[in-house]
Amino acid sequence: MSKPPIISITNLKKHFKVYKKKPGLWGSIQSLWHREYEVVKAVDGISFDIAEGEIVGFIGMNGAGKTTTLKMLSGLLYPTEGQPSVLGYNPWERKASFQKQFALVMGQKNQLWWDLPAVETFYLNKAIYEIPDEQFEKTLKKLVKLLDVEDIIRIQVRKLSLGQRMKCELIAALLHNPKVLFLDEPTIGLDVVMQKTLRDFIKAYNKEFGATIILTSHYMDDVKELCERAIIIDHGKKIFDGKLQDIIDKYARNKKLSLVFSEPVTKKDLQAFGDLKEFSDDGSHYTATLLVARKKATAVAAQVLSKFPVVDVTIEEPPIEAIIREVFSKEGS
Amino acid sequence: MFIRSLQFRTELVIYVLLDILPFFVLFFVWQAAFSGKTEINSFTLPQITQYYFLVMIIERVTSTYFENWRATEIREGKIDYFLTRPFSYINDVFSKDVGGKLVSLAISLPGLAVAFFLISLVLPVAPLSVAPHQIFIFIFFMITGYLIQFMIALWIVLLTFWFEGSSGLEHFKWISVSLFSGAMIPTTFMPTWIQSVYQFLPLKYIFAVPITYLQGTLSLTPGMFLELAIALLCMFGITRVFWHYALYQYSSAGG
Ligand SMILES: Nc1ncnc2c1ncn2[C@@H]1O[C@H](COP(=O)(O)OP(=O)(O)OP(=O)(O)O)[C@@H](O)[C@H]1O
Ligand SMILES: [Mg+2]
Repeated sequence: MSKPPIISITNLKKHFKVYKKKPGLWGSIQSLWHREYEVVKAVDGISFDIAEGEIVGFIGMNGAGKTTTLKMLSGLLYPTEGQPSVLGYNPWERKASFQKQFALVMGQKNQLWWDLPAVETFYLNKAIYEIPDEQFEKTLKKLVKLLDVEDIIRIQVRKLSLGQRMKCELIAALLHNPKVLFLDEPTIGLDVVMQKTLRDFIKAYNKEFGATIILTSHYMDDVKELCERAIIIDHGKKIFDGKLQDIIDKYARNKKLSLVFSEPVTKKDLQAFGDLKEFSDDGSHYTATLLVARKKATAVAAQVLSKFPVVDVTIEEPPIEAIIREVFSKEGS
Repeated sequence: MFIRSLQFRTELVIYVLLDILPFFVLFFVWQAAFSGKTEINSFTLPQITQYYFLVMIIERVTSTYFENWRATEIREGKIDYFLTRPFSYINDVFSKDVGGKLVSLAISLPGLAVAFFLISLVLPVAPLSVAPHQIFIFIFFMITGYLIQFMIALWIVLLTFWFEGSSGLEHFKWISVSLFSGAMIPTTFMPTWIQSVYQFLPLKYIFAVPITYLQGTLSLTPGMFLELAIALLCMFGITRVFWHYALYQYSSAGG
């Protein structure tokens, strides 16, 4: 028999009533007794189980319902329907024993005290989670070193850059060694190097503590590098749940080859190598974008390099949104 | 954690001034009312001055100033920090307000003492002769008075979960507390309907009861303490229920 899931939701729903207020003073007065509203089905019947130690990529377009789902799993929002189970608890009950075992990190929402240096929040968390001195010192030292933030944690949080703040957010969330971690766009707005640093860090944390992680991101690299399994949602409904590699093989058959040439080349010559998506020749700059079959990407790149006067080349995954759109048009009803 | 209150150190000077200014205005109004009389409703003018001076002290100790920013915090979804951790939001509201209050009292008390001295030079103020145990009971009433004011302010904050503009009720709170607690005018001067509301509500224990007790015109009975205890318990219960239902409304905006 397999282990029981750590996170389990069945037909989870969250419908928001959004009140429409007519503009102006009269509108405000009218809305006192007659409030018109619209129902937004942010999450509309999602079910999944997640086993211990999994890192699951939770992806979907803007407004798909990812954050809303994570907020319900954290006990912040009361579900319209379906009670989630996390670590055997109902998050809504906000039991201390549950809260000491999980953490929610939101890239777009600051949870550190704005006016204080991050280290003050760390100490506050130590008190709140009743972390023993020894464990606290050890964990803090390790995390600070891993993320290289010795100098940063003593500066007022509002004076930090986005990337520096995100590192501190992660430390604050991990000091109590949570078994379950909800990461909502932890890499948003970070440069490529910083994204990579955080990814490596998340991976290391998962390895070391066997933590179960749900990660949302709009960056394909995050999901590809960290998650074996992906859950795709759209308009509050689940449209895919399975091996990430499967959707990549099935829907992301191409890779994107961006080329810069030193001398003019002809469209025709390029079209022989793949699907030419962009081509520009303004007399001084010559660039082109080719879509090439995933498996042949490196071979084609090599051929192009040898045949044309190439000064720069990059091979990229297609953006997550493009894949989701494909999945949606094929699997969605 | 008291940075917020420290930031307002300069404002404190202004607050002290704002306390004293109405004091003088009130004095002249009362002086006019007393013209030709030595006593109204068994109050003499020096006793009235004394009354308002005690109001000023209690006001300083028991008033709360968190309604606005706490309501904003909830509306903007900034209390996730508390709701996802084993730490009570209401405890945070309470401890920060008490902490801020202690700091601001420490800073403003010397100012108040000087103000009182100056006032007693220019205006007739009846000297207070009180026994130590009376001061003790007066402080007890200030603490319970603070709890009453705190819970009412908290209810206003909690209403934000349902109605966005609830912090506007702050003014409503201010008016009703002033009217029904004896802070604005000693209650014996009030019309009878206000007096009956006053008798019914526990607000009198914030101002009128401790002041008239200290002035020696009211003797306390065990029944009063029982009433105060029951009122506090009821308010505490209401707060708990309120909070329980408020959380269902939380929308954790942003993110
Ligand atoms: N508090 C709220 N009140 C009303 N509607 C809301 C609220 N929170 C979210 N919504 C709506 O619910 C839907 C889902 O929002 P959610 O934040 O979960 O999306 P998301 O998948 O996290 O998107 P993104 O990638 O942009 O972060 C959106 O249409 C949003 O407008
Ligand atoms: Mg989101």
